[in-house]
Amino acid sequence: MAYFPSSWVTAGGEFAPSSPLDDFAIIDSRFQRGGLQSGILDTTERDLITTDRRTFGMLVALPDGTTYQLQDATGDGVDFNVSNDANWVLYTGGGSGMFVPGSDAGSTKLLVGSGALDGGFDNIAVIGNNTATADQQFNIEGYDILGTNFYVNQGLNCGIGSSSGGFFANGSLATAQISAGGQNILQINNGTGVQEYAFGNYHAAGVNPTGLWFDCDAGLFSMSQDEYIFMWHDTATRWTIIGDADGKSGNGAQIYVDDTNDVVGTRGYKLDLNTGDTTIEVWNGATLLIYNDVGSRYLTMGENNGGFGNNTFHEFNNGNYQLVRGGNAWFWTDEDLGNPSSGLAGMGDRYGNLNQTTFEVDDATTYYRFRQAGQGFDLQCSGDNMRITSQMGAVYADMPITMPADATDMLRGDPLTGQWNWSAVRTNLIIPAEKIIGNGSNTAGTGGLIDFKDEAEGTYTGTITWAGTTAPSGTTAHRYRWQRFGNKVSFWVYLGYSVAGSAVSSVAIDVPPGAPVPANPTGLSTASVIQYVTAGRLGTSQTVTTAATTAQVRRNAGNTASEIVVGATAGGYRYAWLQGEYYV
Amino acid sequence: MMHIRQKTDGVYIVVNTTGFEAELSEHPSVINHPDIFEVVDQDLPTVFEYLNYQPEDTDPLNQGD
Repeated sequence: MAYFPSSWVTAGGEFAPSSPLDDFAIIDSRFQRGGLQSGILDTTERDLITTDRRTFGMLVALPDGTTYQLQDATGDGVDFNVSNDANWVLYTGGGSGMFVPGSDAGSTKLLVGSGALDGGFDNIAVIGNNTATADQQFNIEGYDILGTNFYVNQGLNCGIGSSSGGFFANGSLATAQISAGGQNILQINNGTGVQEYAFGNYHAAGVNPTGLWFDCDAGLFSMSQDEYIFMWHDTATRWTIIGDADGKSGNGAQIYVDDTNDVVGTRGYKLDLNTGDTTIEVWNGATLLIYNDVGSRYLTMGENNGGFGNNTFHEFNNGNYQLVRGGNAWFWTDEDLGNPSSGLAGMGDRYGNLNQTTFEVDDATTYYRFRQAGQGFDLQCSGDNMRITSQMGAVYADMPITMPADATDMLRGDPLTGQWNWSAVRTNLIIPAEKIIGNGSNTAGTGGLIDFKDEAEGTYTGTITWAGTTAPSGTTAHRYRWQRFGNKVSFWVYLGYSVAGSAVSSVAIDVPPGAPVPANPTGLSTASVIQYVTAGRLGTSQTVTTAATTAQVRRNAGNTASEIVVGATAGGYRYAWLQGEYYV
Repeated sequence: MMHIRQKTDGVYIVVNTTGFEAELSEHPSVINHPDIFEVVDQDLPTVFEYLNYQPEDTDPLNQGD
């Protein structure tokens, strides 16, 4: 009898009631060793099961339907101590999966514990059995879900009550029908080794589903290398809205595309806007950041292969951008461009795509630079006006300005219109009256205005004083002309009469009408003194003049003014010519 | 205004009598050529010329005084 301790009671046959009609129990499972024990109210009573009544592998079934198994370290237990309550493991049925019917409205199922919910190749949990039963919830705390599929028809809360809860799906996750309509909200697939996030067909209850919405209010959507966002806007009007779509503040909302580890240089954020009018808007306080630290990146608007709508890109930040427009593409910003030298340099040879309805860069405090290294950069306007305006200072052109094909034109400022124009020099150059532009100094300079006047021939009306016995008389023909060039005056005066005088020896006249007053050279300013020697003739006819004459500009006898005089041997003259120069 | 005029047609010629203090009728031009010069008392016209009267035997290269 060495098989059992001596304290054990041995039996030679089966236990049975004394009569088949007895209804009392032969044994209470709570007092047996191991096996399946029931009648235990909760996990507290479970843990009070004595060591003598425990064996690894035993099961404890609670009234709420939860079953626990005592496992050692070869299973999901922590050691080989049968008394250690940490070796109680939630019993899920192994490879057969777990089915939680929960068909009653308002039912709540709670799994609390640790370790794994492993359904093998079967479902882990199904709530509502794919029917739209209201107000069902399945709350999981502390488990990793390893099964093939996990279905929740109504609500799924992961990590509720935990300070660091999260949801991780290594397989596929399908959540459906958070509101009437039975449409997918989120799908995460890993079947091809590339993570894909697809948003589509969601609309909130009571909202007319006129378009696809990805609404990120004050949230963070982060992407890293080899991750992509694809938003297909194939029909009608679509919006990609970050921030204040429903009146909430957009502060903190971001689409964050971080490609810092990319060594290939081909990542991107792509919107296929095939048709319709599409707008990307970054609302109040939100940010669209595209970090392009290496390689070439592009922000593409419209579609490279046709089917354009009226697209808008609003807001700008660091990065190299290429705008490939479609239809009436608008690029504008009323914000700080950040680093325009790199922000717009990427336009490169795509500058032609700005040749659309509107291209505006408007900021009151920032200046902008358009440049392209190694190549030309054209600003073209097919309309009437192309304006470069500087409200605060000058507009500089630090480069040669090419003239039009007509080389006789020059770029000049028109004081009448206040504009720069290409115009012919000789016909349109405006110079003040009675001036020429020149440089009369002995050093090079930009020149200045010099007096110049060409007085046309006219009738002489100045004072004429003849000397002789009688003066020429009769009908007169008195003409004059003069020209001023700088400080020198050239004059010509002709006096003609129909009747000759007698014993005429000289004639003295005032300087021609309008001519400048002769300057008095130093020491030559007293009465009758000769100041400038000129030329002159007295004549008896227009073909015969005197051989010997004297002619000069001199001070008059009263020393009140200078006069022009010509004298000759006395004769019967009726013509006089007076010609010469003087300084003013 | 009293002055001596040369009695010719066309341009009005006035004899310069500046500095001559005697009666104009005693001016050499009137004395020597009463048929050519006369003393008149009337306003000068707007346009006229002067004559510095010189007798016919005056130095030929007079400078016009």
